Amino acid sequence: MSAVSDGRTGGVHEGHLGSGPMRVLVVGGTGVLGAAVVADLTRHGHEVRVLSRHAPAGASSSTGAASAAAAEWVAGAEWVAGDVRRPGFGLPPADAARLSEQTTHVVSCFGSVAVSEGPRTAVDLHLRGTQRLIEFARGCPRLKAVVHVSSVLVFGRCPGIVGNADLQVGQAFRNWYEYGKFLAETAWQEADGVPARILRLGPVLGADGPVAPSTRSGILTALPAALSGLPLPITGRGDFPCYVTDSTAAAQVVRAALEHEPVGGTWTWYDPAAPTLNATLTALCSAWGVIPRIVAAPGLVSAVRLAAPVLGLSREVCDYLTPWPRLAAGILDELPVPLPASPPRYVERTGELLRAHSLGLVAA
Amino acid sequence: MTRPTPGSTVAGPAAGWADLASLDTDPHPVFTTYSAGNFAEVAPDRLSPMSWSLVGPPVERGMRNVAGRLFPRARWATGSHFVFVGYFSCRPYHNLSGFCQLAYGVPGLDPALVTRSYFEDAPVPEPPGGRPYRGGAAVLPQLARELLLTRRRVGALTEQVPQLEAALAEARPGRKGAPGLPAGGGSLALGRLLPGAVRLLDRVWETHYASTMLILPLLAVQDGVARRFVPYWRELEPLVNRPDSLVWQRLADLGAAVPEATSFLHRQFYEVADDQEPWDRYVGALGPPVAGAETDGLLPEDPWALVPLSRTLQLPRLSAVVRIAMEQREHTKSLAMRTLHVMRLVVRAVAARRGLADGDWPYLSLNELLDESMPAAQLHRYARSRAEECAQAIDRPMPDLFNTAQDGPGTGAPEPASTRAGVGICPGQVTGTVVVPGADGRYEPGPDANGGRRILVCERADVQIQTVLPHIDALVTARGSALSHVAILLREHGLPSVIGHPLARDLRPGQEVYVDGTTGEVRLLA
Repeated sequence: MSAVSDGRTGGVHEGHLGSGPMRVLVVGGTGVLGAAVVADLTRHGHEVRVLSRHAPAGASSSTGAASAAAAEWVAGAEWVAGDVRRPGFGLPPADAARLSEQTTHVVSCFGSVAVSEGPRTAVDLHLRGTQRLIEFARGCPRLKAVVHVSSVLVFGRCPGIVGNADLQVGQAFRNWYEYGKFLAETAWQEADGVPARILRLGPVLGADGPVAPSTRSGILTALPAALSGLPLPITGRGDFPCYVTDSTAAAQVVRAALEHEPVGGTWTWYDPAAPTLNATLTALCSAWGVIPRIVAAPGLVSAVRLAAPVLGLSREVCDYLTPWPRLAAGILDELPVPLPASPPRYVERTGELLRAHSLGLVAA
Repeated sequence: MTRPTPGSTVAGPAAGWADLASLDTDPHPVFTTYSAGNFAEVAPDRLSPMSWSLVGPPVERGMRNVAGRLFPRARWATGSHFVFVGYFSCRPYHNLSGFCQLAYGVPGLDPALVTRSYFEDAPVPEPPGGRPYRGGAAVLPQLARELLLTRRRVGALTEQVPQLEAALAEARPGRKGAPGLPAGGGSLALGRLLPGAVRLLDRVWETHYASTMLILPLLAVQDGVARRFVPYWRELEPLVNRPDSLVWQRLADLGAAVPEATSFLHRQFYEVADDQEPWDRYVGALGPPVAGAETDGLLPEDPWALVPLSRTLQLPRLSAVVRIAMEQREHTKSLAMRTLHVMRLVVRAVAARRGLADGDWPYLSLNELLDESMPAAQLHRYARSRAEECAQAIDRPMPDLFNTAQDGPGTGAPEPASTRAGVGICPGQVTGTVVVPGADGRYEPGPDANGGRRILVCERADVQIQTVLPHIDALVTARGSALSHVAILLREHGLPSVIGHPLARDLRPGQEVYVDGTTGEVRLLA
């Protein structure tokens, strides 16, 4: 595998679907990944509309992300205020018709990434929203491709090694987030007649996207505990991959997934360097000059869960302190080459960004 | 001020209550707040004296038995006044003060949970003397014993009620005599069923009300633990507490195959004279029972598996007990309906045997009907006199909620107003068009506006709603209770629903609204 251009300079992949710019509807363009996708697409000359319940306030992003990227993100796209859960996204009929008529590509990256969300998010947002989006896609006369962004956590806890062709592998879900991703992916797989590709990602980090990652979701919720100086028990000292990726690199893969033909199937993307959970937490904490005290104490899992609030952990993230799904070797080889390169030190720089902008996040 | 006991002079009925008709129950001198909120969702607005005698006194006896077991030293649950129910101007009421007194007696149970769950979120009445009754910690093991006792009783009643129905079928005119019953059936054979049916009715009501009561402490414990550890408990609760066996759905399924087995579902709940003037005026069109929704397969088989720490905290076991209690409550309610349905025929038969005209018996109580010392002619005169009283009584408007120490009868005391913005009782989000009940109060499916989803908006839903459930996608009411009969039906049908929302009174047909049955949010869109 080899890398192509740096995410910040962009790179166009082989196998472009059709000619001319794509007219892309990005559903959920205000999250870490969605914002990076919007910025990447607009940078490459594509016409982007973002469907979101709330448009960002302006170029001065409250996330503290790089102002240039934020400005590009906000200014480069047309913002459509709508709700993916409502019929016709809740848009006036004329606007909904125009959107259907003009859209050639769709990126689905909406939905909460908080593992503490409940069944409502899983079913009513992830699934119902996906079903509405599928209805919309079926009504687009010029539609060429849909990319649904899923997660490697769709496998929950499962035995054995899993690959792109797998979905139902007898997994047990750790939480409603995983279950919601599973439901949404299942809906796309069953959506006959819609040219859709599923892209599974790991946790999205990075300091170069328009929106900064948050310590309120994903593995970053473990950061306060890692910085606390208290022992953090992780199975096998966290020497297992956690499939992180940089947001700009992930955005390039999303663009490749839109462009590459034939449309269909499932891709998986994460940083090919595959840093372990231990290495990721250590790199994140380096911005504070702290080395987290990660210990192997399998018997303490329940005790840590009960005492999670005291340790500065969310109870839900405790479930990710045990090994994650084992992805098949060579799973990245199924992506079209060349692959994007992750920016150097993106994990460390994510920590630096969080240190600069996350109030109250201090080392003990 | 000392703790008052029934019969004390701490509070007394307001002046107007001295002029009550003889058929009314005496207002309780201490427990003075009455609510029709729970009866109103199932029973008709006015009950005949006969129907009241089959509902009120047995419920009172049953509740006193339960209260006596839980609080052996509670003298307030005794005495000559009805403590838990009331009957005013032919309208059945629960004594809200009495039920809240029970809640005060259980450690950790907030009486507000009682009013929220069963009495349309009415304000909790002041405890007598301003001092809430405390039952002590000994109540808790007794509650556990009561739970086991109720389970055993439900099992026994599940056998006994069908036996009564079978005996009724055997005893009906034209049938060959069953063992122990005269050959040829007829009114004599039917009449012989009465003593057994009365005893069974007492046990059914007691078990039903015990089941209803026991749910609340269970929910309080579950809520107290789960809310601390499950951030999305409000979303999860309806999923994990949904009974494994949906009683009303099961009955609807049975009715589709064997209609006569569920004929009681077609008749007005609680009113045995539902085909007689003037009681038929209050009978709604029940229509055929409809099957509820199957779970749509979207939820995992074991939702608790997705909740960290739930097993450590024994939450799945607790919710299993709650599910059993919920199912028992609905099951015993259906047994009560079935027993009352048997009474419809038996009471008629006894009246016929005593030579009473068909129009007389609804105005008599069961005890009066069975009083062999009273000749038929005297019973007839008594019934006619009672009929005049009833005619006046049912013309008197009666409030849903009143305090006999403050409000006179028919003074139009304020309607119960929810103290909250709206309560989601069945999860799910729907955007759709408002439809309303027809002008006659009956439910109509309404226009299918724009081919979209239909949201039924009404002041309060009652049991007649079951006919329209398959035609709507969500429900919003201005009043309602979280554990009412209608709420159970809505959950069985999986219809996103919000009760007690003030916007319900302002919404008009054709408007587009968003309803969130999880959070209780209702929003006007256009």
